Amino acid sequence: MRPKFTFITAILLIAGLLVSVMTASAVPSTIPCDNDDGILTEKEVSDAVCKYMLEDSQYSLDDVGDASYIFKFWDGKPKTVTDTHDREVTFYRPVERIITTNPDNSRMIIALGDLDKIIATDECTRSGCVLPRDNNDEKIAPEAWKALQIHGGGQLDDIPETNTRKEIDYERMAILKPDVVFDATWYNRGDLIKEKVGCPCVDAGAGFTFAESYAHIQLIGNALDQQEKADELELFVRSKVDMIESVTSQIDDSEKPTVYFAPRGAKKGFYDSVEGRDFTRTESVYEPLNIAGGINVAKECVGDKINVLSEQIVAWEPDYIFVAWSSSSSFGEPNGVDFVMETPELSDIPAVRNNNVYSCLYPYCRGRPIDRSLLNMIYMAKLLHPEQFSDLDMEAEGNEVYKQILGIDGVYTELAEYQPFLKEVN
Amino acid sequence: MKINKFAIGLALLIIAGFVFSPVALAAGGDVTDVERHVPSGLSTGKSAEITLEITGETPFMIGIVEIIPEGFAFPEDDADVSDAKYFKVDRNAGKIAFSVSDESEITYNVIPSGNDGSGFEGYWVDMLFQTQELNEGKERWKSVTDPNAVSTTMISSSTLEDTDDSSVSKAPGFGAFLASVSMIACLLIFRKYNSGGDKE
Repeated sequence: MRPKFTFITAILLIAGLLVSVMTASAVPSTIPCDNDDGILTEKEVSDAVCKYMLEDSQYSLDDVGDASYIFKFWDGKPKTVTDTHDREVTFYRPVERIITTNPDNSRMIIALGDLDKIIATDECTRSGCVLPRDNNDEKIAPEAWKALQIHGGGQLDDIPETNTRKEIDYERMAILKPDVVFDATWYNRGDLIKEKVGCPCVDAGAGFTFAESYAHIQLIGNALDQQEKADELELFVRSKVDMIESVTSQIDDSEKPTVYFAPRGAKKGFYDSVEGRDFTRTESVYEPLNIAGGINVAKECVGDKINVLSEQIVAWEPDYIFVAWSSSSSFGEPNGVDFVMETPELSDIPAVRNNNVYSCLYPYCRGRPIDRSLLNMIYMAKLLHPEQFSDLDMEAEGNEVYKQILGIDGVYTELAEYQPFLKEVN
Repeated sequence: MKINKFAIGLALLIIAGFVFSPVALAAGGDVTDVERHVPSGLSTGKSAEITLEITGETPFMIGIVEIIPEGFAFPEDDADVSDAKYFKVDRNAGKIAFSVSDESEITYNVIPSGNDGSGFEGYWVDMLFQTQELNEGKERWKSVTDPNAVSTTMISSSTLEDTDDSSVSKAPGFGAFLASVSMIACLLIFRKYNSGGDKE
């Protein structure tokens, strides 16, 4: 008898766990409290609210709350947004639980005031892509880490992780019952995530043009119903771009210096065969550089991953070179500038001859961080046109950028302590 | 087969924590208060108008439930109860519920059984408040304030805290039942194997 009883209880246990997982992945695809015609009326919502308050309802508070929200803000209908890949993404519930798979989307959600809705994220949001860490993985600007509190208390790295650079845990995502997943654009897996996780997936991401950044801001703002904050953020970014462009647009192209931009740094020299890039990797489109009043020597290059010959860089004869700063430089290791200045093959380049080789912020971090784009734009402008931008306070500007995006004061000041090249232009 | 006692205990704690963990609430919302005004000098059997004053910024949408004192009644016809746009009356339970959208005041009528108007109880909930929490329930309900019946409000609050929020769950009690079954099963399995271990 006892073995039989134990067997049954074991079966019950397993069944219970299975049921729990199955119910967790059942995400609604219709509007709550609707009579199935796809449009919520005021009467339907109000009846549901009254019944709920009388405790005579099949609907939960979440149901009637969501229905009220949909009626009030979506005209009682499902909401559709068009994502970066032109996918039509339909929401049947307001977004209260978010999973992000890359830092650009996490950062944007924070900037739009919805950090407390993020229930899981990727390894880079938790590590150093939104708030900085050093090469030892120690937090830079620890006060900023503390200031950015997640729902229920804790820091960014306390958010559960559901994906790494190479792997994504669909099952865990489904169990967490998100209302939406914001995925990076380069994976092209929005439909797969929707199918496996059972919720809408928005493919969204920033780029190296500010038009892409504005579109990113507006897309996330639209999905989160944070239109006002999105407009405010876009206006802020535009104001910074205008601040620089209003000056550099007055400079004749013939007066603008030519620039070679090495966004992947030069940690391993010309080319790192493991990563497939290094000093000879460049970008043909990096708008912060153009706005800053530089002429990108690689602007005619085509393709996504442009590796050029070192001879080509010499032939371009750039007046300036910007090499993205490597975190290993903080340990006193030779940085990209050292490599360029000390490499004989590059010694005839005007930038090298005239000591116009500079570090700049690494413009990627599992995406294209808008904060770094803005800071590089201001920083490059000050270096390329020091007289015109002599009054521009880099530290104040940098702190303002982070205040706008993360809502925290003083982040740039602490970042500049770790990346000292930033202080050279103040 | 030996099963580590500590590991099982830990597993049970994790399960219990997962199932029964209290919902951490995010505070806020556009509506800040709902205040009841009961006319002084109620007369037995004579209809009296109760006013609910809502303070907050539009747009808002709230649910309100009022529980009238024992012995009090609602007028027989709904049309005589309230001119609010959306309400429902449960005469057996002595309750009236409202769905209120961007209105700063609603009223309803009762027929008193005495002249003491201090026994009203009421709760409201902000329907537009957003939180990542699942299984939201009565912990989000707030008491209707009544400047003339402070003690009533206090009683209401404690009553609310005592109330289990399972009534708003889609499957009331199922989670707790499932957790209980799971834990009992674990205990039974543990006991069986552990007793064997003791014998050795």
